[in-house]
Amino acid sequence: MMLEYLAGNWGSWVSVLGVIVSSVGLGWAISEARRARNASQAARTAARETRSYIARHLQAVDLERAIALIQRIKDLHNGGRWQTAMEQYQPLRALLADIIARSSDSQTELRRKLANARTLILTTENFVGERGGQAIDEHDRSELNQSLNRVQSELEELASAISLGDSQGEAK
Amino acid sequence: MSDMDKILEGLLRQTSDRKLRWNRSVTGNEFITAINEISVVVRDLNERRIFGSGHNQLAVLDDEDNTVAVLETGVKHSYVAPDRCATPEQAAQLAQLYELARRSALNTEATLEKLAKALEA
Repeated sequence: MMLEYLAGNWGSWVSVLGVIVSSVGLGWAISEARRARNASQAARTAARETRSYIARHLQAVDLERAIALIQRIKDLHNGGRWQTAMEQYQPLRALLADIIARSSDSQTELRRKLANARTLILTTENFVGERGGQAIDEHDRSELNQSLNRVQSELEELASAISLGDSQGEAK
Repeated sequence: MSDMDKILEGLLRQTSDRKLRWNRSVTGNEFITAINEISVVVRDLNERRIFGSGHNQLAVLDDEDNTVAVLETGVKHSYVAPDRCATPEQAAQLAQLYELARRSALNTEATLEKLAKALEA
C-alpha cells in the first residue's frame, strides 16, 4: 500500500526533495555571501587603519624634522650666525605648510596649530630680516629664542599626541 | 555687509567667547591666531609710524603665508588701496580686537585674578 502510494507519487516526492535541497543551497549561498562581505569589510577597515597609521607616522616624522630645524635656528642665533639662520626659516615654513597640505580635512586642530606656528615663524623671520645681525642685542636674542621655544613646545606636543594615536582632529 | 566686516565681527565674537586663542609674536606688538590653515595677524603700528595713536593693522595670510588681505587704520586713501582703509566702524572694531588679542595672548585675566587674590590674603 505504502509502496504503491510512493510509486504513484514519486514525482511529487522528488519535487519536495528538490525544494528542500534548493533551500539548503540558497541558505548556504547567502551565508557564504555574508561571510565574504564581512571579510571584505574587515579588509577595507584594516587597509584604512594601516593608511591612517602610516599618515600619522609620516606626520610625526615631519614634525620631528621641524623641531630639529627650530633647534638649529636657535643654535645659529646663539652663535650670531644670522645669515645662515635666515636661510633655515623658509625651509621650515615650507615643511610646516607641507604637513598642513598633506593633513586630512578632519584634522582641524592640527591644521590650526600648524598655521599658527608657521605664521609665528614668519614674523620671527621678518624680525631678524628687518634688523639684520648687527642690530640684534641680547634682549632681542632672548625674545627670539623664547618665541621659537613656544613654537617648538607646541610642535613637540603635536608630535607626541600624533605618535600616541591622537590624530588631532576635532577642535578641543 | 562686506567679507571684512564679517571677519572682524567673527574674530571679535570668538575672541570674547575665548573660543579663539592668540599668540604673541616676537615683536610684542603683533598677535597671531589661525582658523584652519588661514592665519590672522593684528598689529599695533605705532612703533613704525608717526601718525599718532590708534594705528592698527589686520592681515589675513593664506595657507602659504601670502598676505591676501590687509585692513589698516590711520592711512590715507591715496597711499594704499581703498579696500585696505578701515571705515570708522572697522577702525573701532580693530582697536577692540587688538586689545582682546593682546589680553588673550598674555593671559591677562588669569594674571589679574591671581594678583587680586594674592592681595586679598
